[in-house]
Amino acid sequence: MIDSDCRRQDILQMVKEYCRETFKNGKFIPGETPVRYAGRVFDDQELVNAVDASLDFWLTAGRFSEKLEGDLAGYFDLDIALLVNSGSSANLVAFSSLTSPALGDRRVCPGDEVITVAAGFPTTVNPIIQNNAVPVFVDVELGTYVPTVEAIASAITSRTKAVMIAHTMGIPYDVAAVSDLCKKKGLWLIEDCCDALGSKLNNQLVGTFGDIATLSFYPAHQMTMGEGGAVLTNDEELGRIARSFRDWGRDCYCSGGENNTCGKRFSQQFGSLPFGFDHKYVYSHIGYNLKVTDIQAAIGCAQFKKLGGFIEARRRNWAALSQELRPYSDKLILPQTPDKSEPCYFGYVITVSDSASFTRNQLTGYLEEAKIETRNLFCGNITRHPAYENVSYRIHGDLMNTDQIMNNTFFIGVYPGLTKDHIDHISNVFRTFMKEHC
Amino acid sequence: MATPTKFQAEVIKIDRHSDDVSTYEFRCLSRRPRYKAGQFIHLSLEPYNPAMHWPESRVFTVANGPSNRELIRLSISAKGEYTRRIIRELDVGAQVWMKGPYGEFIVKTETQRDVVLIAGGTEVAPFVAFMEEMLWLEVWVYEYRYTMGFAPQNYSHLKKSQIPACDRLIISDVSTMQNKRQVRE
Repeated sequence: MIDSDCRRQDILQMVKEYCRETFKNGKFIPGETPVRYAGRVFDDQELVNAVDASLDFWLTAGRFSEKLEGDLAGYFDLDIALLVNSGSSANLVAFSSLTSPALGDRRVCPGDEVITVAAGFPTTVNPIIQNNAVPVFVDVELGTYVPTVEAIASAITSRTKAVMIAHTMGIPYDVAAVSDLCKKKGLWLIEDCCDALGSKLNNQLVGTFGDIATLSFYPAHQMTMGEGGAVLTNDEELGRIARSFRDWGRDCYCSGGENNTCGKRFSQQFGSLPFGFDHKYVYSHIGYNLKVTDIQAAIGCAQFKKLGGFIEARRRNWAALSQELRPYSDKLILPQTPDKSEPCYFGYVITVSDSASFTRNQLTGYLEEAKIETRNLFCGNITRHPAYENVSYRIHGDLMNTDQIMNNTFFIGVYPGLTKDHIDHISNVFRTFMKEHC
Repeated sequence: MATPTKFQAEVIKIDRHSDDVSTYEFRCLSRRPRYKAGQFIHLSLEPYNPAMHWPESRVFTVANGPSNRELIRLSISAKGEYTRRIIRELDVGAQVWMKGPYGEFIVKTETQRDVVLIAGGTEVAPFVAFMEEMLWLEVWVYEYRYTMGFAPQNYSHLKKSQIPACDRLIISDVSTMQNKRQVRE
């Protein structure tokens, strides 16, 4: 081994030792140690990979990015997985791709309608608005927090071009039926799987039903690379367009550090450019730069190896919480798992019933006092937020459940960092709250 | 286009057609990306460290259908120094780096009409892959008529009446088409 290789191995060994000494799990003290709603779960391999990538000093997408894109494509059994710098960027790239002139009559144009929901995270909706299309909000169901196929179908008009809906909190909507509906009506289907990596419907991974899908690797999600996300598709044309939107809008698909992989770099005609204009600097879309660094991807590679265990742990924690909280189902609407689905839960979602003798904020305040983190179901109702006051949108039917979610719903964690001690503490705190308030 | 990746492959079989032309079969040593018939890959004889820049390489159309994800077949003609090195240096058991897939020379499969494919030399590769893919997919291949002949220096003498009724005529020939494949409707 040459000197620099030996030195690299020494450094990586020291990183392992540093990690083991620094990130030891402390003793859990109920009421003192926070019970997080989510968090990064890692060991020395994530740090070793991050340092290994740093020592490469490749910086932009490189060997780790390529590995992770291949791993993700293989996991979903899809042709194309493109890493981006966040789940929100993934949504932006996925939706913007549908506006490409390359899609002809099927492209989404300004004023076209896109069916979505208001009870969710803003960046499922924002790309629709940013591309001057019109979001059409349908209501969701309490318990699953996703819409029914009937709600989506009834919102379709002659202006509808796409359906873009998240598998909120990891719970799949009936995406098989929605996919059939979209095919029948000639609509695009974008599956926002940012909360739902590993969730299945009919024994098929969500993200593989629609035309294009998105993932998030923010630390709260099923796996993390710090900031990061991915766009998934089996459609060659959409894949090429998505890559273009991600990579400044350029027409060329060479990776960083590569040139002329097509062999036609200086021998093509584009627009009114002179013949042979360098393809590397030809732009076919109004794009962005939403690429990842190889250090992020290196962390993702280590996390991906743990994904199966992470998914199991989330399901195990969710089942344990369901068991513990079942006695309060007359006061709380507990989460439901749709038929034929195997969710990989993002959190444990609870809605305080109208008939309960306490409010959501009383319960979440009590939990927070006991160091149990809670979060509202993201926006609640996005149409009530200041940013959307002057935005053009349409509400199909009413958003009664969405408003109830805004007022009465919250979630607690199921992430793999929770242990039986954490679950027992959550259970005890709920028990004492119910004794005091019912 | 599937996301291009870099992977190692080992030579498992060589058919030497002449001093200058050989067909190589490679077994992929790691996961190979899915490709479509007609796409091409880069092959490098050089050692490669994935943490560094991709070394010198040449491109070749994959000459087998995509059904077998472990196998890559390339027909290589010695045209310059690098391809001569490939013919000279690659023996059974040799390992090389490849990356791909690339390219959009893909024949759409929706048509129900006849398709005539005309190629010269190793440029027959995409069509062999295409026909293998059609057989694998079991789509619209009712009859093969495979005609072998000697390629003329150019195709200018071909008249439409000499070509059977077909959706399109695809001509693939490096020497006569200046490395640009053409599709005639």
